Amino acid sequence: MPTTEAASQKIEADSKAAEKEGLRQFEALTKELGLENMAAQAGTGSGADGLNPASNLFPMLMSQEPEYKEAPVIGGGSLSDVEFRTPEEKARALRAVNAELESLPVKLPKKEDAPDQTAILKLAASYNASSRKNFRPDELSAYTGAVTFNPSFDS
Amino acid sequence: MARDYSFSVSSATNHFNRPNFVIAYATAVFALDPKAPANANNMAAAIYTAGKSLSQGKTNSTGINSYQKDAEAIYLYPFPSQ
Repeated sequence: MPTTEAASQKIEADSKAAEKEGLRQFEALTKELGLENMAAQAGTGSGADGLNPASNLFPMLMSQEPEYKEAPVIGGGSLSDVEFRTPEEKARALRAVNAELESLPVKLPKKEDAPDQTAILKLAASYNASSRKNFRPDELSAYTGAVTFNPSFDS
Repeated sequence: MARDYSFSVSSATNHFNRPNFVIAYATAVFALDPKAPANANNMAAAIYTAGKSLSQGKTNSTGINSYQKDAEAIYLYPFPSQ
């Protein structure tokens, strides 16, 4: 039928146009990547005899990858200072650190600064009084609602 | 009784954002048994944590410092049994 024939011809023309467009895009891409030779080869071939671009692009890109070279290790590459410090130098460095630490004020608590039981109870009473004045009954309700056990505050 | 409330005080300090209640609770439980180190530590933690919460909105520079000092004093508190 003429209509079917015309339609099949149109489909064939469309597919050729699409193929050309794909080839053009591929050539543009390979030029962009600096692979003009491959684009030329791919352009000359077609069908079963032509170069399949997809199957060759990856190995070519891989072949252009620079080889990994390990950076040269300078100075042994370890933190061990065996090679850098003599025992005398190490002892001198240790003495310098200790001297610096000893010059700092001692931050440990002194026994005479510690409050006695009366002072602590007084502190607790003052905190308790001020906090009880400020906290609202709904805070207590919120707490008893939040905990899974039932604290009794009246005993 | 103070021992029974120790866990309750510490969990309230950690998980319950009601600073005034937490301080009142911790100090009350401490007063029940002032010889127990856990109660004193709980009270110090409560004062510091709740104090931090209470002083957040304030603009004065002392803010947390007073709570911090009191908490530190409680941590230094020597227990009669030791």
